[in-house]
Amino acid sequence: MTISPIRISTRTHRFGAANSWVLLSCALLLVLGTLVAILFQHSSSKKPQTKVQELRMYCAAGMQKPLESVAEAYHQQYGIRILLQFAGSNTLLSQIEVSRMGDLYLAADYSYLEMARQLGLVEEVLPLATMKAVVGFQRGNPKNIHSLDDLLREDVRIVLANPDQAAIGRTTRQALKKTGDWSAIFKRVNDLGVFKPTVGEVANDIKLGSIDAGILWDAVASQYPDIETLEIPELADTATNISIGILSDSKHPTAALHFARYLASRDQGLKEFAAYGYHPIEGDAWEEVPQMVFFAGSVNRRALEPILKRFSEREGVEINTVYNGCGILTAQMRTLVDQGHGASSFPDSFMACDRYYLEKVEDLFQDAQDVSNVPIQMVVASENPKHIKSLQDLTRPGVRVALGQPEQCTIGVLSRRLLQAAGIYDQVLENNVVTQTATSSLLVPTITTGSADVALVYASDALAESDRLEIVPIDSPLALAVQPYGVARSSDRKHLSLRLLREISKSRHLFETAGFRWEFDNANLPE
Amino acid sequence: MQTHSNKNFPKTSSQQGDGLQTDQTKPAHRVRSDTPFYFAFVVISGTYLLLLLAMLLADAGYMFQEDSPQVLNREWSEAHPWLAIAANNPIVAALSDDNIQYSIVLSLVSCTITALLSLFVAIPVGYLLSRHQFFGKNFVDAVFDIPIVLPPLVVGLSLLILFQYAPPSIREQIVYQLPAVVLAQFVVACAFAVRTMRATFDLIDSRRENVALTLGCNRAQAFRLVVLPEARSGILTAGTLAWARALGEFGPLLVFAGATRGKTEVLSTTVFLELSIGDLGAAVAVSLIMIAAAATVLIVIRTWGTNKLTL
Repeated sequence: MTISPIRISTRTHRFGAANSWVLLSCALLLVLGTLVAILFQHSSSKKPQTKVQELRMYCAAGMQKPLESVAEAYHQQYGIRILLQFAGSNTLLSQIEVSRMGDLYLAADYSYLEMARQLGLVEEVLPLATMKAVVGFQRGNPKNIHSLDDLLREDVRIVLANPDQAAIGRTTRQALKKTGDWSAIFKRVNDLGVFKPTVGEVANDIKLGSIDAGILWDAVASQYPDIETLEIPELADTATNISIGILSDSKHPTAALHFARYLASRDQGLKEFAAYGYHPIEGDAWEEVPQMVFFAGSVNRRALEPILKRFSEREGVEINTVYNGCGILTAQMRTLVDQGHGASSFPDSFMACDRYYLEKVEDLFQDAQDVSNVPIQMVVASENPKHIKSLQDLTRPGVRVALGQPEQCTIGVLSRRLLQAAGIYDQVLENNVVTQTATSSLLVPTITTGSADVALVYASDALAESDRLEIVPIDSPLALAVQPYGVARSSDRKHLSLRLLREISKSRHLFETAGFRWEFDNANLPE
Repeated sequence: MQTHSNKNFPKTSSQQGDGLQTDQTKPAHRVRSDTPFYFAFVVISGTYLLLLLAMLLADAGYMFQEDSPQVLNREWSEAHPWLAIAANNPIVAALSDDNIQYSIVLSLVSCTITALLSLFVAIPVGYLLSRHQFFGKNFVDAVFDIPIVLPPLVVGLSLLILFQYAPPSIREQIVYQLPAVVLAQFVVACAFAVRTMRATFDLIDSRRENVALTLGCNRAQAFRLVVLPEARSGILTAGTLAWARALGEFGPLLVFAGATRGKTEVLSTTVFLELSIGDLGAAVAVSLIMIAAAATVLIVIRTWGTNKLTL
């Protein structure tokens, strides 16, 4: 009889039962996945935009070629049609004024956009390229033109663009009036030449040979191989800034800005401008949704938040804000720069608590503008029991002083500077200072709780508790913190940052409500 | 507190009554009263508890004495005066703010993700450190403790510097974006979880595990079937510790994730930033919201985790 060997099962696997590891991991992954989904869904729940089909743009005639190609490329990529309307810059401005319709206005010179802005027709302006006025004639220079006087010769018929219709006309008139040649040329054109409404027609006339010479933009001339150009000293000062503006009456400002940014970006629109002979400016790099990084001192937050929200919604950009004490921010910036990896985490712009901190990173920023200021004052308990009237009173024995820590907060640095200038810093520090706080907001509580007799604080901090305090102003030009805004040299979004500055400059009331004083000089407004 | 009866203690020779008298003069051992012991412990614990509760009440008191913001509109306030009193306070004002609501959701979600990730990492690390000796173990141990020792800002700065070495495509997805929030919280929270898990595994006798191995399990099975169930309460502690730590962390976040409203701002960041503009009322209001959220979550987890109502 064979005994069947007993097989001891060494398998520990249970059939029909789910593996608990797998179950547990799946459950955990499900939970994690749901949480991550909630996170991302919540953060991107912005208002859905009504789908834009087309944008209407008023475009100066001289820019026809590059605009048509850029609009076509944009249409291919985003499916939005740009309806282009060409005419002289001034003509277009009148049309806009009358019709109050449309989204974009591209003028051959910034001065038209400035006028439009004053008329309240245009909001944002993006600079694009520059051009210069030159004399143009047929290739080979059959009439031998070498100077302005040659244009006044009997046998030369000249064409100019109408100064009241086209930018080139107006620029020519301005330039020649300065040199005193305008009346002669004007008479010449009236007698023997012709005024045309756009620069394109001027170029055509020269090309066709119906006219011997004319004055037109160098970029336009370069688009016509039959036209040769000559630079003359009388037209030396005619460089113009081609810019595009977003119309205030536009129904789709964000979409319009999207296209304007596309046009003004150095790797998209501006390449076309360069190809057609214009001199493009250094534009921002193209991004669908630009991610701006903005460093700001925490004191500025209350005033800045609504501005940033408004700006990011209108421009369709995301602003990543990093708030902190300015000392920490400048240290962070130095670290990022020292690494030199073309760090994308370096901020595009920085609004500091005081000029002191921007000066520390001066080499990394450009275009610093002062935005607001806040005076530094002494606060004491109501009724001023210790009769503190001036900085010198801080040295009196028995007076307990609270200051900010100079290593940790701006008020500390500024207080130290103020007291050092008065020559009493070391004395006060040794005999009278009872506490040095890490942030300015902790100074006022030292007075209201009675742990100090006097503190040096920002006026905006004293505002909140003004019924329990008395304010003693300090008579010194150093008793002021000035908040500057600077754009980073390394930024790929300089123009966007400048537009943000413009937005900030329009929000005086927000700063004043937050307890600051306005410092911005409107003469320094960026374009 | 009753004193233990003498029957638990060995009888003295005089009580044994077997005739062998040696030292009949020694009195019976009486256990000393427990009252002083419990009294001392309760006093110490009670004082600390009172201190914490007093802090909370002081916060609430401070907040209510601030100017009450108008949350309900005028007609409502006049029509329902009691409701107006209850609703017009900084906490409700804070809660009705979209940004704070987003902040709350982000805090809860990111802390939970952080806690789960920390557990996922801390369990293996704790197990290995506890069960195995290897060359350089002390060094590795010290490295795992670094995030606890470093000031929070240094952690944030180090992360920022690290990611500058990453290729821009990765860097742009992370720095100042949502993943940065979770990463920054994770770095600090995991260190605490690792410490706790290591202590847990240290306390679990490796005997049972070894028995399982002799019965035919491999390491993974022994771990799953024997060690993990026993470590359950330790895991819960480590998880809640990591969660709580992540909730309170703001230093690294400020530097690495930024404080973008509606995107990377969490409750702890809000408190710090409100404080730095001197808005103490709002800071306290958000702090109380944080405390309430944390307390709710911790109570729920503990109740669910230990299957007992320990309120």
